[in-house]
Amino acid sequence: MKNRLKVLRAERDWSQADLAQRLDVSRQSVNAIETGKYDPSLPLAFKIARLFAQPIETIFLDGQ
Amino acid sequence: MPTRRSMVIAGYYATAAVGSAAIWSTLALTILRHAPLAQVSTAWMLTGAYAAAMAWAAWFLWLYWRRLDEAAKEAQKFAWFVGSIGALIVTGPIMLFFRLGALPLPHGVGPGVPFGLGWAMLALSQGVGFLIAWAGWWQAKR
Repeated sequence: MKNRLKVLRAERDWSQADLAQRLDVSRQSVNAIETGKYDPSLPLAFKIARLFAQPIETIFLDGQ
Repeated sequence: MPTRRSMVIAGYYATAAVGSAAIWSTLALTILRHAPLAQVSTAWMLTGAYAAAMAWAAWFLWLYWRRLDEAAKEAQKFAWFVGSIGALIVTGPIMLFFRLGALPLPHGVGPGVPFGLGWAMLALSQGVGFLIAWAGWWQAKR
């Protein structure tokens, strides 16, 4: 699933490791989500939305 | 540079592996030094030693599992599912070759030895299958 995670991260000048630490996941997981190769679970998606203070729908793009 | 989080996770895994191996080898060697080999009581004592080692491993693997993030858990589930089924598929013909006498079995040993070797081969092949599937899962997610 496409997402704007990389853009949002870059706006805050965070590395993947920084974001991973804030989400309590591995850097590899952050990379997999950003590249659209792995879709986060609902709890993690909500956690990401809360971190960036944006609705989930503006971060993860359904594409349908 | 590994993070504190990744070091904690790796530490749980290493503690499970090293600790269980140490417990098993220490207890097993002690038992085999003092107890007769072909006795049911010895087998029960070794089973107790095995259970102690597995309890240690299970506890620390539970702590490891709890600290894994969801992507890593998905990788583990995929790897065990695909890797162990793949291992069963791959080792099936090997079993047939042994069963039909096309490959030699150890001579002059009781039936327990080939049985133990078969178990060990299955465990090893499932472990190898897991590693291949686990590496493939993460490679596909890069």
